[in-house]
Amino acid sequence: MNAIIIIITKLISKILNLLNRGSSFPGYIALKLNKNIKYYFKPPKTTIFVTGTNGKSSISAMLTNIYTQNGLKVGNNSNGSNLENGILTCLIQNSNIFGKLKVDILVLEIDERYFKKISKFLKPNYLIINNISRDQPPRNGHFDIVFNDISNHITKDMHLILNSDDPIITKFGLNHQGKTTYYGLEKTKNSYLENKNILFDLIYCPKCNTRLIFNYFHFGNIGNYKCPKCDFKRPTPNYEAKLINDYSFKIKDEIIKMENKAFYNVYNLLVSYGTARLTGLTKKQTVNSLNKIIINVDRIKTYQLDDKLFTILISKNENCASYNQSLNYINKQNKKITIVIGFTNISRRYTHRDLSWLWDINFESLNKDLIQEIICVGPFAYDIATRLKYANFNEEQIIICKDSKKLLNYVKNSKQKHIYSLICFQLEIILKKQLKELQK
Amino acid sequence: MITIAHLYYDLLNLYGENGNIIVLKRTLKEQGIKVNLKLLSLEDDFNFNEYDFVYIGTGTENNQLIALNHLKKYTKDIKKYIEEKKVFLATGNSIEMFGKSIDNIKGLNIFKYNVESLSNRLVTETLLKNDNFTLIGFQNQSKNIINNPEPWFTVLKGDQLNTSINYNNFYGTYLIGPLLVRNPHFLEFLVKQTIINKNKSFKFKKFNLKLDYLAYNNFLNTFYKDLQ
Repeated sequence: MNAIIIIITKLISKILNLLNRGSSFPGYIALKLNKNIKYYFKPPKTTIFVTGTNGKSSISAMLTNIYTQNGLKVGNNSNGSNLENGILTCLIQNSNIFGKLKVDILVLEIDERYFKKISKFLKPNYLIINNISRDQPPRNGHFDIVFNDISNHITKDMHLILNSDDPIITKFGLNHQGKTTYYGLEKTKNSYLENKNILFDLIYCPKCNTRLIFNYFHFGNIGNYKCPKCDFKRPTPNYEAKLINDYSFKIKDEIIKMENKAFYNVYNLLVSYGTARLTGLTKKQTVNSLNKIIINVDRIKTYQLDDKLFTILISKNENCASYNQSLNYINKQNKKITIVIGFTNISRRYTHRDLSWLWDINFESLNKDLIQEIICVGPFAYDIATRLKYANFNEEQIIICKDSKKLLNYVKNSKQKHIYSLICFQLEIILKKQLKELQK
Repeated sequence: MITIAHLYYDLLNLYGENGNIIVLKRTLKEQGIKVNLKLLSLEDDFNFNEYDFVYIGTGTENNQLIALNHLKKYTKDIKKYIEEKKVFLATGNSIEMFGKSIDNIKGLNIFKYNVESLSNRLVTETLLKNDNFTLIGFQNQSKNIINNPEPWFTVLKGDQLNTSINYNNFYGTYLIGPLLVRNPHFLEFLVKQTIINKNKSFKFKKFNLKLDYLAYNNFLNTFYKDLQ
């Protein structure tokens, strides 16, 4: 019976692929036909899960790329989803009709709230957790809930690969009976000291509730910490990166290039390096392939509109770590700019209109010497404008544009030549369409 | 000078609660008043005699209990502060701490209600109304007050149990996050109350909350046209 289900769903999967539709539909159908089919699969020798708030897709894409470059056959869910159906689809696509996986290695990005479900039928040998931070509160509640969801389903046969610079992540290692490997980044020229106004997800020792001392921060809650009272501290990383400049870093004597100079990308590359090494690749193999990876920077796109350059950055609402990185990117521009901020819906997953997260984002950090004006778009334009007023922008600098259709007209007639927009996915689609029409 | 105490600013700040402090400070300053902001937490001594406005916000279940455990020694001081009609604002699950119990853990026992865990987390948009205010906001909580004798608001949208408290100038609500930003009339009210407590004959300037009111009215008119 299961063999037949696999034949049928493989066929569906092939058809969808021909139509260029990556999907989790085959997994959905398979589960409908037999809810126990998920226990049917025989995984390869090595299965790697990547989970956490940010970086999952990048890390699993990098690892897949490294292994493929070194001649290994990899099963990966980058075309589907990181929920149960997506994982099943990946298993169906990569197995024979008896459920035996025909790959050398599985590299799977796992949604942080679905690890508990997926680990029941597929156990990873290696579990990478890069970070956990504020993200989608209506869905996740808060970071402790995400932590417990993962932590309660870790077993001692899983080798944990943990970010040593995030105190929430090192908590996973405290009671782990199996192996743990840590990776971290040394102090850099951009590291900063504690500031009372930083928003912390964890600042009191998880063992004794004493306030942690941070020697430095890289960003957010990430840095080098220790408890002044007990033995909780940043573990010494097994793989430690030393930043050379914005474009490269070192792991011992090996130099790794960074295509995408966004700071968090060091962690993605570093953990990919460490994991590849742990799973048997040599230093040379790993470094060579890492340096050949061209990172897809499709979160940033630039369009020409008359004499203006319009850059679109896709920003993740309700995820302040990710959003603040976009603000950092804007602050690095060396010219006078206009920025556009807005969204049609707060989330693609749900319809809740919770605006609290706007106040977790550090709009105060925006460089007021660069930014000439800010255009707020969409149904929440006034809420965004109010947030910006309290981030010390003058009300004259804040333009309200509830109707996104009027946005481009405003931009066309504006004096500013460089426009950067922080907008949601849906607004990007609308804007792109308008930009194309205007370019005709 | 007005002294604002932000209690457990680093433990109970889960959903943008900082926003309340930012707008409060700015609005007071725009009235020409000097503001002394005290960021207080586990390793500080609290002195309620010094404060004119006390704020406490939302935390994880774990952090809430850590804070409660620390706050217990100030129960008498808090009672006195409330009886003196000084302004106290509690948002999100921090209001749970002021009741008799949270599940089987003893609360501060300042108000006579009990709090119980819910089987599923309660996540909802909320619209509250009483004779003085219509408040918009959001709830995201794992527990609820089960026996509030006198809720401060009627629930027009959201969880019907939404239980809010007002006694003297203690204002407690399950609404999370930047409540004072989203409800500028309530911000004005609290600011006036805080100033009047210190200086009855204070001459108020016009509040500069144009954008705040536009956001508030726009939200109500867009999403709650039928409920008003």
